[in-house]
Amino acid sequence: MTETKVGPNQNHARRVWFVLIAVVILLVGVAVWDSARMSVSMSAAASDEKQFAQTAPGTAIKIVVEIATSATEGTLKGKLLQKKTEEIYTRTASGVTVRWDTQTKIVMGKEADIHPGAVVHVTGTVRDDHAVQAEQVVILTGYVKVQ
Amino acid sequence: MNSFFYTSATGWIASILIGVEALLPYLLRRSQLSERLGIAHDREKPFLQRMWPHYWAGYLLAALAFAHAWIPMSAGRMPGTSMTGLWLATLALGLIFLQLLFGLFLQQARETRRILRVTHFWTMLLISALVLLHLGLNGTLFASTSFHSHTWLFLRSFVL
Repeated sequence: MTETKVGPNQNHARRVWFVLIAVVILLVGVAVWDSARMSVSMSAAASDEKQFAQTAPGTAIKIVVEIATSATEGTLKGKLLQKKTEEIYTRTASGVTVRWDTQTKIVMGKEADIHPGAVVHVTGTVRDDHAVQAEQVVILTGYVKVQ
Repeated sequence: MNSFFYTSATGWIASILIGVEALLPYLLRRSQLSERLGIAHDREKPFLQRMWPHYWAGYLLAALAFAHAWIPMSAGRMPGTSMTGLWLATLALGLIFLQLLFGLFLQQARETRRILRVTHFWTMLLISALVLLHLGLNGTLFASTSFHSHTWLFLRSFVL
């Protein structure tokens, strides 16, 4: 049997290639992780009508809202949407008020995307007046269908 | 998992692959970069044979870019996003396929090799520029005002 000798240069080259390949795999991993995280944040189960009505103040909540009116000072009103499938939501009769401010993270869009007719996924806390104080608003317009 | 996940993941992986694809020729032949990294080959194999990772990454890139375009189109819904960005991406996709042809010709060409290499290089730059514009106009990363908090959340999930 013949034995292949590996010189120090070849060892170094192998190590460099290993690091380069590891960096690429890490980047791909981050890309897949970020896509999955965004996907989950877009499709997290929205509360149904009854559940939302019974939620106590101070409770963390995730809802999907079709905006009817929005004001620049950070209040938006709309209808609560109920999840049917990953990409189809149905309108409910429940009205929802969401308050947001400069601390609210706006994902998948900009402030300008919060307008009447837009569909948003809101993560926040139920206030005493039963409005939702938004911590994060994900713009879903165009990604989901409302029936 | 929904079509958003597949569209986003294929798009990001294709973007990474564009960078890898552009770097590979400089790593696989004797260049300032390969010498600095200490991986410059001592010509045990002809250059075109050593380039096989570049060829396969090119085919993979074309397939991923096609899937990235096909998934949202076949789902029948395109989000309210910049049409300019989508047209630029379409142009980039066309150029990726053209680039494959340039690459195939380059493997055989002798007389026209120099002009083909220059064209291959400038097409790569054009594709990269178009993809960057597409990311800026249609990508979720730059559209998000919370990019820094995403990065922070990612780092925190590993550190804490």
